[in-house]
Amino acid sequence: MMDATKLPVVEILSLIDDGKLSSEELVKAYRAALEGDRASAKPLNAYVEFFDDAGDLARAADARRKAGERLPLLGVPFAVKDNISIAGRALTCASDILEGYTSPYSATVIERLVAAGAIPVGRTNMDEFAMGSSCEYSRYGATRNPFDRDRTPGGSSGGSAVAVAAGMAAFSLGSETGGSVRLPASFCGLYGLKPSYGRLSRYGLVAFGSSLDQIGICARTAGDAALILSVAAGRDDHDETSADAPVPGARLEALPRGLAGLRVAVPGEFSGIGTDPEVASAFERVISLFEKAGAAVERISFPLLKSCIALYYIIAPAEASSNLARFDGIRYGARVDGGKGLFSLYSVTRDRGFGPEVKRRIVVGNFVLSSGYVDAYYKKALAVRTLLVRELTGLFGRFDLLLSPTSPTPAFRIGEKVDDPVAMYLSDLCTTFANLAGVPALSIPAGATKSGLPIGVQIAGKLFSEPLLLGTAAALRGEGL
Amino acid sequence: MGIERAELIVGCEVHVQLLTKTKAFCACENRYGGIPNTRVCPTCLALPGALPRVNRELLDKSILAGLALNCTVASLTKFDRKNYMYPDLPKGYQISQFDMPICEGGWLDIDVSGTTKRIGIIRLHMEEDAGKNLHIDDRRSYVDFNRCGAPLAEIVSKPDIRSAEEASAYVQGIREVMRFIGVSECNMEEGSLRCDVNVNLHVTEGVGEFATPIAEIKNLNSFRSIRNAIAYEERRQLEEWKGKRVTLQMAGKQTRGWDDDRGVSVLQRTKEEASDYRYFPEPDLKPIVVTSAHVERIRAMLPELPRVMRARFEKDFGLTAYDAQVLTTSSSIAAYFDAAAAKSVDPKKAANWIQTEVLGVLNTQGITVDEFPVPPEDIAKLVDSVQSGINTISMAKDIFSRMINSNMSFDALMATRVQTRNADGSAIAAWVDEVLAANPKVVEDWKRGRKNAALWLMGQVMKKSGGTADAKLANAILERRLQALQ
Amino acid sequence: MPDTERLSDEALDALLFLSRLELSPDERSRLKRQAGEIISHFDSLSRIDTSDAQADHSGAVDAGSLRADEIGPSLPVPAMKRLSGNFLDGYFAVPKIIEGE
Repeated sequence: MMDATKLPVVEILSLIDDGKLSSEELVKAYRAALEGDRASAKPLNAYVEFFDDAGDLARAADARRKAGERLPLLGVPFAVKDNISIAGRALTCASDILEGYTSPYSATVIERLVAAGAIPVGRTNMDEFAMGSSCEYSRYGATRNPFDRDRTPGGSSGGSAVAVAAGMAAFSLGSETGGSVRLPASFCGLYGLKPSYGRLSRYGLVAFGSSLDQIGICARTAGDAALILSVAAGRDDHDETSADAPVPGARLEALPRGLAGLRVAVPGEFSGIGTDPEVASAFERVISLFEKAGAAVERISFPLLKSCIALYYIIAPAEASSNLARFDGIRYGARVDGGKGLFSLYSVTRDRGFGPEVKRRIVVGNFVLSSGYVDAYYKKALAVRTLLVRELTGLFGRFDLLLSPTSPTPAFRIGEKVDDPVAMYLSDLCTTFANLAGVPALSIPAGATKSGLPIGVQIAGKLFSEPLLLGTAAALRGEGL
Repeated sequence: MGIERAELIVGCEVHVQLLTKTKAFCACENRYGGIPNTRVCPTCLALPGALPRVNRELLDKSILAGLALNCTVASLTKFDRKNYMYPDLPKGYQISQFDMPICEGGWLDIDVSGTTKRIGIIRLHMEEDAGKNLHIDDRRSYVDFNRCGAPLAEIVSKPDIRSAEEASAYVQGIREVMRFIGVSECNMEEGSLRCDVNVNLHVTEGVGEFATPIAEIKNLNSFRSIRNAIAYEERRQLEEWKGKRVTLQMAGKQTRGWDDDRGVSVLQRTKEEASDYRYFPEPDLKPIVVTSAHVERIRAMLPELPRVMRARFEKDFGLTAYDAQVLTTSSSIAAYFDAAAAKSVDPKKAANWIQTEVLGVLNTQGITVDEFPVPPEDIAKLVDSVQSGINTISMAKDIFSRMINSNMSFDALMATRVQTRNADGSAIAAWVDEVLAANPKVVEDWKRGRKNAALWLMGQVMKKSGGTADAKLANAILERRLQALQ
Repeated sequence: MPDTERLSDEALDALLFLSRLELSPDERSRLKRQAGEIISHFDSLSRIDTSDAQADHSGAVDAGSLRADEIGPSLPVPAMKRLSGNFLDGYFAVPKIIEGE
């Protein structure tokens, strides 16, 4: 039998259609890849759980297909970041505080993918509560990068990226608050889509920064990402911030694909920031590909982009400090009752349950919201965010795309930044603006370093311009990227 | 230099639980009581990943309440998070409104010792209720989340209240209006109306005026405790001022609990940080645009309010203030009386009948006026039939109880009665003639145009027949005889 | 201002109380330093002129689009038991609550 584990969704579907591959065989192959890896010296640690019944679900999908059923993703196995709820499955956000919690309901995006025939096969590792850029802050230990096992896969959706990159899933869902899908996608040589705010329902995604959060997609091709997005997108009555913006039948052929005439902005603020020379040259190559294909690339200055990290690390922790207040040990998850009354139950449960990065963000979030500081920090950040949205809207009136590296560097070493939060935060330098402004952004594989580490470039567009982003990515591939 | 004057200053925050089918931000049923923790879902239990959805009735009932209190409705409103952790608050924050409440700037008129006073209302905002902590045994507390997420309107008054009586009248006024417009049951025992009061004194000494520290007394759950707590606090603060001379500027605000059994307020030792609520805009909900057309649609549903209705009943129907009060205790009783009065020749008599007979039946049977089988038009007919002498009081009472028990209309009952009795035209004609002969003055009145005179004469005929005459036939004969006399 | 002085001990205590966190002395001093560092990076925002950045409510929804007031399903009691080992006699049990705590 062929090795189907590295095939894109679109090819898997056609092989299954032709009877050359079954869903059950595919799940078996993914599981074998996972088990082989677990036995290795430095396991990748992509999954925190591969569902025991995944094979049964695949067999059932095969039976439905045999019975004549046709669905857009029937029998396609996918991996799910451990902060997206699946009914009847454990959900931990890689945190001790959710020890023992099983979700009684499914996220809307999960429901839509399952209704389209896709099969969730496991939960993937992540930075605790999606707070981190390296997939190291996890109760399950760090996830390793399949291209260099001493390096991180990027975070926070590191497990989701690795599950796909290492041939253990056809695609995966991650979550994005400041770059958590794009960064690991770029470190692992995948397409990583952060949809427009509201494009996908957040219902069932454990909230981190509610005004920034979106479920994101890790895929092997732009076409796969388009297909998955079209199945999952659209208004959900469970999420008032979801938009009535479906992506109609996004087969890749239907996407806008011409690079000629595209107006592309390259902000200077994302270069000269300690950019790795190999990343810089890969990036320049992408620019020349655009230009050769007839796009108009313009180097611009957009000073507000420099403020996005500060903005992000005020707004996201502020919302997180409130969103994580529900983890109190009262109704579900871990409870540590020292027998010293209510306050002690709260504080000991939360002290033991949360890791250091989560605690830092809760404290910083409470700081920027507390009386005496709220004006200088939180409200100021909201005002700057308003400016950012306004200026970015203006920019996308003049340009179709904003182009940058996804990260100034390729994957960094495990342990390199783990005790230096500020250095870790700077990994998100090029990505947070999209979450702050709500616009879609896509990380595209753009070659690798000499040592074989993948490099990613990022394109962002105006609100709901995902078809343009995905079509552009496919066209770049056609140009030899 | 002694205290020349110590003026009591009181402001009220009233929480009113809104009568909606579902909770404020999820589709769980909104209802009092029941088996604990059976009306909860991922959203109101704050399970990971669950999100709120605004109940449109929360908005519309809040707007109706605000309009009834003469407020201005915001054209743009939003929700905010009020952050504090407590076992009955699953999310660790309450969805409330901070700087853009749905309604602002209204008032409520109250009557205290014969004069009317206008109490200003700063704002009315929407929020969700917490669950309930039960303290059953000494070791643990128990939490029921059925109430968690129930919709609330919080109504904040200006510090316009100057006495315990005014405070009580104000809260009673809020309760009356909210019940009248149907947005809340305002049952203090069940907690669907709760009240916090802010109390301090403005003390005048010589040229100086000093404010004592504001005490916020939380969760007063009866009118008696509202009055007692304020009266107690007035005395306590005066004594404390005399002894310690601590001002509001020096000590700020304090939270006190009311101990109903001992009749004292007790300082609640709360950490200062605990009241740093860290408000910020609720990112899970979008701001809401309220068009003027939407407000006007709701305004059109606003019924005549009880104070206005009472004034009309007194003026148009000649009711006493007391009768008007009794007949406006609920909107349905008021509407019932209004309908009866409109059809009756003597609304005062209709008022009496409803107060004594109808309300009596409602009380003994434990039903509401909406469940009462006799339509108000029949009360009008019944009362008028006594007035005109067709029925004696005791006959009317008999008919009244038969209307209730048989579900038959007044007309139907009268018709059956006559059918089974006298339909002999010559006998009736004889009674008519006797009545006309015996009452020449009334006949003269009739000739001069007093139509009621005919009704009275008809009553005399019925009386003479002992109530046995076929009323229709008797009326026809009387009519013919009178026409002949003209 | 040195980063370590960004947060006074009193301020940190207050924040830890609001955060319902109880830290070991080591963890506490590390957090104090790190949080100070993080906060110092926020200062750059103060230089941005936001006098003209009124909050934008263009995403507001119409009152008529809100959820209709119709009862939906609630969770069954067995689901509650699966959530918590402290679900006793139909209630979530917690340590005795002392008023004002």
